[in-house]
Order: sequence, then structure tokens, then C-alpha cells
Amino acid sequence: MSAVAGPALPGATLTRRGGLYRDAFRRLRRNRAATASLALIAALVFVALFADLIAPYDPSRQFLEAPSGAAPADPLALRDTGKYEAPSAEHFFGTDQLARDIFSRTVYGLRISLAAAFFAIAIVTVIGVAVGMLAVAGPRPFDAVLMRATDVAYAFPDLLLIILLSAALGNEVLGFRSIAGVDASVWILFLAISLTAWPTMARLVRGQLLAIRETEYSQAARALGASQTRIATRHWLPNATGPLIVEATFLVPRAIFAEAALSFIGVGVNPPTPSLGVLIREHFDFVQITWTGLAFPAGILALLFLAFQFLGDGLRDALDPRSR
Amino acid sequence: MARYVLGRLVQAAVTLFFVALITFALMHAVPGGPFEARSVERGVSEDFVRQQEAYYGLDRPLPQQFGAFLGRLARGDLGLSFAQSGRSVTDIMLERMKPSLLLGVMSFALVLGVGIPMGVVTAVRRNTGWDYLGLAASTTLAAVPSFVLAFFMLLVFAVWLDWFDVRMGRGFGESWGSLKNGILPAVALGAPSMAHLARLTRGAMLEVLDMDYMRTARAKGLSTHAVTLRHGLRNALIPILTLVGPIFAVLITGSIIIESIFGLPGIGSAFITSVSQRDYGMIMGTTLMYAAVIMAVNLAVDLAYPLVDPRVRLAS
Repeated sequence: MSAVAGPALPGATLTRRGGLYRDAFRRLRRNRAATASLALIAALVFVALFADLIAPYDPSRQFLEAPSGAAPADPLALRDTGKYEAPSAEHFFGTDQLARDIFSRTVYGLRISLAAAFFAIAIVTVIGVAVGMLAVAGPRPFDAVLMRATDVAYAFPDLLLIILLSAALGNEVLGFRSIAGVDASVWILFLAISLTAWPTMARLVRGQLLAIRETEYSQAARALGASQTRIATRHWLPNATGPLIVEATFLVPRAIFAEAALSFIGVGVNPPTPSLGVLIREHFDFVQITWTGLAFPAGILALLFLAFQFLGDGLRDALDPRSR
Repeated sequence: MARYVLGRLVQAAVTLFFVALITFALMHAVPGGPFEARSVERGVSEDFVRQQEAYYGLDRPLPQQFGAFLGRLARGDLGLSFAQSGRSVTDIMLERMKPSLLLGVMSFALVLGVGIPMGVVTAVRRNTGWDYLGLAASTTLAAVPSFVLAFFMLLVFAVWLDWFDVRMGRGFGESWGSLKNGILPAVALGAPSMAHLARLTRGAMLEVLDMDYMRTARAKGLSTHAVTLRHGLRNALIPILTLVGPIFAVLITGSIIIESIFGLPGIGSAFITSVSQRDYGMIMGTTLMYAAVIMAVNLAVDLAYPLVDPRVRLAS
């Protein structure tokens, strides 16, 4: 009997867990704004993943048609050299001040911003879950340290901290000026963003776990003699995942926005790396000559922001079994 | 009450200490000191740089420097600015505070003055054209990054229509007329928060509008106006108040970006220049001031809860 019941138990937990997420997905699909956002995000992630295939040109290739030796005083006259070109079949979004293809740069910019945002979320989630869990299950002083850390994080304006952190971290990571083909300043900026964002996540995890610790199933697991580690990883964490996913979803637009804002005022990613913020910054300078270059990256930024916001709202409703 | 406030103040002092410690550690971790950074462009000798550092006590060990800073801070002295020689950090900050404060007050007024009425109107007229218009406006404003909005407004209203001077910072806050220059920055800064607050107010009002006491108030013969405002909005204020603290933090943080874009000589742009100049005193002063303001607002919000909802008791 016991030999049959033993292996059956984990299986039963698994189906029930799959059930919750299938349920949540069904609820999410009924939310039209969230579904549309999810589709849009999937499309943008697809574009970012296959940037090499989708972008027609190298993002740093210059399409100069005439030698750029003697630049005329009138910037409008520079059109003839292949700079500031209006959108055409050849250059979907036109060309920029260095005669580079804006469409290709935007596609790569989307890749960099999205990759960096997911990188930031991974760091925030790992630190947040680890610290939140230690605060609840670990030695008592951890809790006090976490609470102080979140107090400080709430009082410290995050942009100030990000600016200071990224200035302190410098321009290279362990001597590398670029990692995975992306300028080190991108990774440093998003590392700084995640280092300012983890206390919120940790506090959320702590709150969730404190509530779960008092539930009957958690106490039942303890009564059955499960170890603290097993209770934490098999009972607490799976039950706290919903709010974590929601918080992580809301973090994406915040991280992307912080990058864009800081790059915009010149303290973020170093040009010529085409992050969305750098693109918006560069294209603002010649917005009076051609505005399309600005509208596309800014529009994509706004779309990303909106889509993740709606998806986060939808996920919050879908993942909360009590919500109707 | 007094006990509660005292407890919070002690907590705030501890938090400020850690904010100071983190800022101090980070700014000294930034490569290059305040005098090295400028010696390159000025062609100053190495010896002179060392002399200056010794004069300002920068050659001492870091813990000692931090201790000295705390000692001076306790006496309300933030030291001298390195970049603007001969001026104290407190002086510069007081001068820079005025535009920031004005900008903050203007956009806060916009957030509350437009956001809350917008939320109330869209809730009362739910599922009408007004509601959809408000929803579309607030969704768009919440999605467009404030700096993009800022530049489009600059382009349209200052460059094309020429309603405003492009150099908004000039003389901002020195006369009543110059307040006009703060309109675009205030809108750019406040619009996303305003949209957020409008949506939250709408949700809170919708929940309250269906309550039994609303029907009772109406049955009693009160005017729609009195029912909506005195019985409806009064009870929707709690979730609104919860958002005031975060909104304030967003406005303060956002002002760093907005001031730089519009060239307003405020605290935010002072902070950014001070980081690139390694002006240690200014970095410490501005960061601590921001942190102190945010904590003060959060305390004020918490103290306001019992006024809005008599059931709330302050727990120490």
C-alpha cells in the first residue's frame, strides 16, 4: 500500500500545480487587454531574438553617398550625403545623423533593452527570493537587516542610487568592455537598476512567506517531519510564485524606462550602443529635420511599457484564485 | 501620538545614517577624485592636486573622513563645495532648492487638482463617452515616458507655437510671470502620476458608489453633488492617500530628469553635475535632502490616515 501511495503523492501535487497555472492562463485569456499585450510582447521578443535576421543591415553601418569631408553649414544640405533620409523601401525608418539605418538600429536597440531588462529581473528575483526567504526562515538578525535595507531603499530616490552605482561600477566588467557583443555600460546600468530594485521584491517575498508559514498545509508539513529546506522549497516557494511573477512583470517596464531616462540625460548607456534610450536621445537632436527616427523608438518604448503594464494587471487578476 | 512620531523620527535618523554611508562609499568608489577630475582640463600639477586634497582632508582614511562628515552634519554644516570654490554646500542647495520646490508644488497641484476630479467624473459617468475619453487619456499618459512627453511639448509649444521661451530655466521662480515657464516641466513631470491617480480614484469611487450608505444618502434627499463628494469621495480617500507617498517619490525622482531636459537650475540637475564633478559635499547634501524629504512625506501621509479614516490607530 505504502509503496503505491508513496510515488503517487508527488505526482498528485504536480497535476494540481499544473492545474493552477492552466486555470490562471484560462483567466488571463479572457482578459482581452492582457492577451493582446502578451501577443505583442511575444512578437517583440521574437523580433529581439532574431534581430540578426530581421534587421536588414548592420546597426553601425553607414550609408554615406558622398565623401563627408567638407560638411556644409546647413544641416538640411546633408541629406544628399545619405544622412537624415526619410523612410523609404530601402530604409524603413530612414537614416540617422551618421547615415545609419534607423530600422536596424531600433531592432537591435529592442534586443539590447529587452535582454538587459530580463537580466535585471533575473538578478532581482534571485536576490529578492534568497533574502526574503532568509528573513523568514533564516537566523533572526537577517530579518532586521532586510527591514533596514528596505527602509533605506524606500527613502533613497532610486535614480540617484542608480546614477551613483553605475558611476562607481565604471565602464567595464572585470576588464571587459563588452560582454556577449553588448557594451559593458548596458550591463552595468541594468545591474545598478536591479541592485536598487531587489529590496521591494525581498519585502514582497517576506510578506508572502510570513502568511504562508501560518497556513495549515505548512504546519502539516512540519508536523510530518519535513525539513526546513524542504518546506521552504516545496511548500512555501510554489505558493508564493504568483505575486512574484506579477512583481517581475511590472519590473520590466520600470527597468527599461530607467535605462531610457538615464541614457536620455547622458548618464546611462554609452553611445553608439543602440539601446532604446540612446536611440531616443540621438534622434531628439535632429527631430526638427526628420521626426520619424524619434517616433519609432519612442513608440516602441511606449508600447513595451503599456503591454507589460496590462500584462501585469492581467496576471495579478489571473493568478489570484480569490479574484473573480 | 508624540511617542509614535518620536519613534518614527529615530527610525528615520537610522535610515538617514545608512543612506549617508552608502552614498559616501559609492561616491568614493567612483574613479577619480574631485581635483583629479578637473586637473586634466586645467593642466594643474600633481603636487597642487595633493595640496588641495590635503586642505579639504581628502588624504585622510575614509572612515575618518566619514566621521568628520557626520560630526559636521550634526552641526548642520555640509562643508564646502569643491566645484564652486568658496561657497558652502548649504548655500548652493538653498539657491537650487527654489526652482525644484516650485516645480514640485506645481506638478503636485496638477496631479491632485486634475487627477482626482478626473477619476471622480469618469467613475460617476462610467461607460459613457467621458469615461472612455478619460481612460484613453490616462492610459496614454501613463505609457509615454515623461522625457518623451517633455520633448514633444517643448517642440510643439516652445518651438513651433512659440508660446514659451525655450530656455525655461532663465529666471524661473524670480517673479510671478516666470512661473509660466514652469508649466511645461510641471505637466511633463506630473502627467504619468496624474494618470495613475485618476485611474486609482476611478476604481476607488466605483467601489464606493455601490455602497448601501450611498443609496441611503440619496434616499435622504441629498443633492447628487453632496452625495458624490461628501459620502463618495470622502470614503474613497483612503486608497488615494496610500498613493500620495509613492507619487511624491516619483515626482522627486522624476524632477532629476525633467530639470536636466528643461535646463531648470534645480537640485536634480545639481546632483547630476555634482556626480560628474565628484563634488562630494554636494552629492552627500542633495542625496540626504532627497531622502529626508521622502521620509517626511511618508510620515505625514501616515499621520493623515487617522484624519481620513477614524478607525485607523497609529501603532508604534
